[in-house]
Amino acid sequence: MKQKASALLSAKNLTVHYPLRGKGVLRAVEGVSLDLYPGEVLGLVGESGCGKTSLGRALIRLQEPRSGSLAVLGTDFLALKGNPLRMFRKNIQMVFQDPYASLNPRMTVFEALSEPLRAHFSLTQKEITRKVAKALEQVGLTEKASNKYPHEFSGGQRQRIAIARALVLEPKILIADEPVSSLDVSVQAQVLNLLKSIQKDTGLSMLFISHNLSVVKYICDRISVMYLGKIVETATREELFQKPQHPYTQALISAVPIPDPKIERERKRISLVGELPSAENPPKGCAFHTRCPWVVPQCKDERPSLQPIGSGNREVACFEAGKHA
Amino acid sequence: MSALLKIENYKAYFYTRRGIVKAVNGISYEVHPGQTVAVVGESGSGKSVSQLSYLGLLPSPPLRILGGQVVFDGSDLLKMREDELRKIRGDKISMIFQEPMTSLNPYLKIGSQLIEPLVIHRKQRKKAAWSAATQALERVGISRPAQAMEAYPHEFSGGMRQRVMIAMALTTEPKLLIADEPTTALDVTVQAQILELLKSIQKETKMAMILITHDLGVVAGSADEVVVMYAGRVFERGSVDDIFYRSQHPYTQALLRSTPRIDQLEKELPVIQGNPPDLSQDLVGCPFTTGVLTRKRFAN
Repeated sequence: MKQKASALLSAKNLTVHYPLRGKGVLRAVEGVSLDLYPGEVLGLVGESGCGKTSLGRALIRLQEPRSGSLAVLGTDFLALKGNPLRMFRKNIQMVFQDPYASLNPRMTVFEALSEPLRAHFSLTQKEITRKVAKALEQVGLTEKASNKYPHEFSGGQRQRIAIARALVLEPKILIADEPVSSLDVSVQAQVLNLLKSIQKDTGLSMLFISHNLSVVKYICDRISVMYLGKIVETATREELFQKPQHPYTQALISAVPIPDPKIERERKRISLVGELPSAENPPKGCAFHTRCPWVVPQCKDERPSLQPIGSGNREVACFEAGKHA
Repeated sequence: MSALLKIENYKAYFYTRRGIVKAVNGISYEVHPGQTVAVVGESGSGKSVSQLSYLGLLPSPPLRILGGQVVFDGSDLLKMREDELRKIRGDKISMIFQEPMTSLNPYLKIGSQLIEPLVIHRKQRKKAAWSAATQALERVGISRPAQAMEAYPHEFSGGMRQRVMIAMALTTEPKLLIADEPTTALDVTVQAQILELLKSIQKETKMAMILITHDLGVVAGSADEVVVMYAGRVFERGSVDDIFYRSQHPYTQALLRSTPRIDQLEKELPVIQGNPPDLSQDLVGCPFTTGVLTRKRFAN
């Protein structure tokens, strides 16, 4: 059942290019389309250089897309500018990877959380205090945190503060870019559980960007896999991990180590040959063909587009998908 | 077979302005030839400091070695002078680190850096060393090694640089390789390749490896023995199967339970409350129960 009409966020053919010194262009995101539905957590997964961070930043216009369209809550997001753009931004907020870099060290927690409120609304001091307290409570911190500075907190706590800051405007969409990658395993679990429960309580939609497949599996409903600036496969969590259809997805899943010695001793890994091609000079045809175990002549000349496969909203970009067991 | 490396009651503290940080607080374990011992822990556990410190790689002061023994191949490293340690470091004991870009000199060609251990430790002449180093590059899976020798670090990807680091560490055929988070900064597909490479080299050369990591998946795939560290102490040690299937320590068990697994569908990740302790504070009793018992209470 296609739900295209009710997508909260709908990106079509987005491209993000970074100019390189001298000549040439880094094609970070090449013609990507994705939809984010109400109440879902969509995972965006891939290795370094795949474009997932650039795509996340483009969706919030921290990085302007070079081309394509972006509809958010029914509005043409790319057409907005000036004050209407600033006001609209309260609907879509972001949490970043590094909790040490994303919080201003010279602002108290209260100042950091009230700043977005002052930027978007005219509220009384009492209302601001109330909203800040509510955001802190949502992330499991008390009002005692308000007067402290970021350096007084641990990494996990700082990430909670960053999440509170993103939530204080009560956005409909949250983009989390590697939110737990810098955290210790035990703290990671805390923050993941927090994100999960916030998402359940508020019903907000989340785009969860990560290179860690185990984490993505734990928290996401649907997952899109990226390689060299393009989405190669999109499926529900169950579908993707039970039966991945794209050869890169299969290799990626097979490379993830499992904390279980017996399983590790017995598993057969799919080894990818060679290195990731450069994003300045991507291969012609399918970007993955230089390392693909299924490559056929067509792959070298034509670029496969995302095509539906199986039932539901599953898509995969591969000429050979479905032909290999 | 007697141990290649025997660490016994080793203590090393940092004397800082804020107080004494008991980074390594009495650890003991052994490493045998051909074995991979994983030292696993979160940040602040002391897993890296415990290895860097006895090799003389940390500034002293503020580091002070307080006691214990670190016996390698029959000699106590802690009793050695700097010039004696320098003969062993890079020769019989080699190290590779997490960030290959910061371990390689960006101003020198790969070749110039690779031949250094051979020239210094084996007194080889440049030409002979260059050819041996080129072969080492080939062994670690770098295609076109002759060209690679003439290149600079920035021309390589992270995975390739790590291969270069491994080649450099192996040129002297060390008995022990200490790998400090060697694959943490790498993509998972590259990580799998690098770990495979290390395994195959060990099979050939019977080199022992101490693998420092926080990633339990990597431990399960690479380790024979596991040492679990927390707040500068060893909480548990044993064979990899013992640790994963029959762990006796609540911290190990909690760590295992809070690690998401790709082969399982978990409804809720059990969590360890609180944070790892501040090692500059004097900790009485078991550091896992510091302050209130909160750290020890985990869901279920």
